[in-house]
Amino acid sequence: MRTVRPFLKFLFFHLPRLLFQVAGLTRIIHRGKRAFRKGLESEGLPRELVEELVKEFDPLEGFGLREVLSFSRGGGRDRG
Amino acid sequence: MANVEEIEIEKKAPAQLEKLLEELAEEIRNARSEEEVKLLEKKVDVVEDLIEAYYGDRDIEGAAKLMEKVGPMIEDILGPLKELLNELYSPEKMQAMGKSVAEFYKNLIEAGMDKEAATELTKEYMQSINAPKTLLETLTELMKGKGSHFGPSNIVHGKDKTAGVKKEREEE
Repeated sequence: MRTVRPFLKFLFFHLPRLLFQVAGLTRIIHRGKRAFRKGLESEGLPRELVEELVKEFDPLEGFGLREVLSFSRGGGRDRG
Repeated sequence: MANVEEIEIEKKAPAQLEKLLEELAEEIRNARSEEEVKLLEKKVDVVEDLIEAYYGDRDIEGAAKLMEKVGPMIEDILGPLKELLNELYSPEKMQAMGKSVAEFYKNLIEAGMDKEAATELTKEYMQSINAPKTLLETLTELMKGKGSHFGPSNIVHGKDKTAGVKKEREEE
């Protein structure tokens, strides 16, 4: 029981808290993105251009969890 | 009370097992027949398994202790990170940034540049002022093990450092 308790605590206490915090980070970034879009639209830029610039602005674009976690597997091979 | 006894037994157990192992080794040395040696070797295997099982439990305990520390540690990292992002991506700043990017694009179009070139230049301008994205990209590159992407991507290395500025002057 002594060894199981920390795992359970991590699973049911820390992990939900961490996920909630990560969701908070994503929320902040999305809020910034919306404000950026609003700024562009307020200046009267065409919609297509706005979409393109917002896509370029997005910091989460290409920041996939899979990409980050695959560093140990693919990092050494990429160096050539 | 039972817990104290358990802990004492856990402390004594590996020492006793190792002592037993030494005794068995001594008995093997003094063995007279092959059958006796084989029997003792089987006993040695059992004792070794018991020792391995004990140390396996210790590894699990170590992992459990690590788990206890990892959770709060990540929370300690995420807290300041959230504040930093809150500061960098505040809606007011982002809106101002959007306006400045739009103005930049408009100025280029007004100066007579075609839309595609203006869009490309605007993207480059955005990259230069979008510090958080550059930061995240650099971190991702570092985690991937490349580590080649330091600084804004629009910095020109080598002889043509002033080429971009010259072009802009010519256009003006």
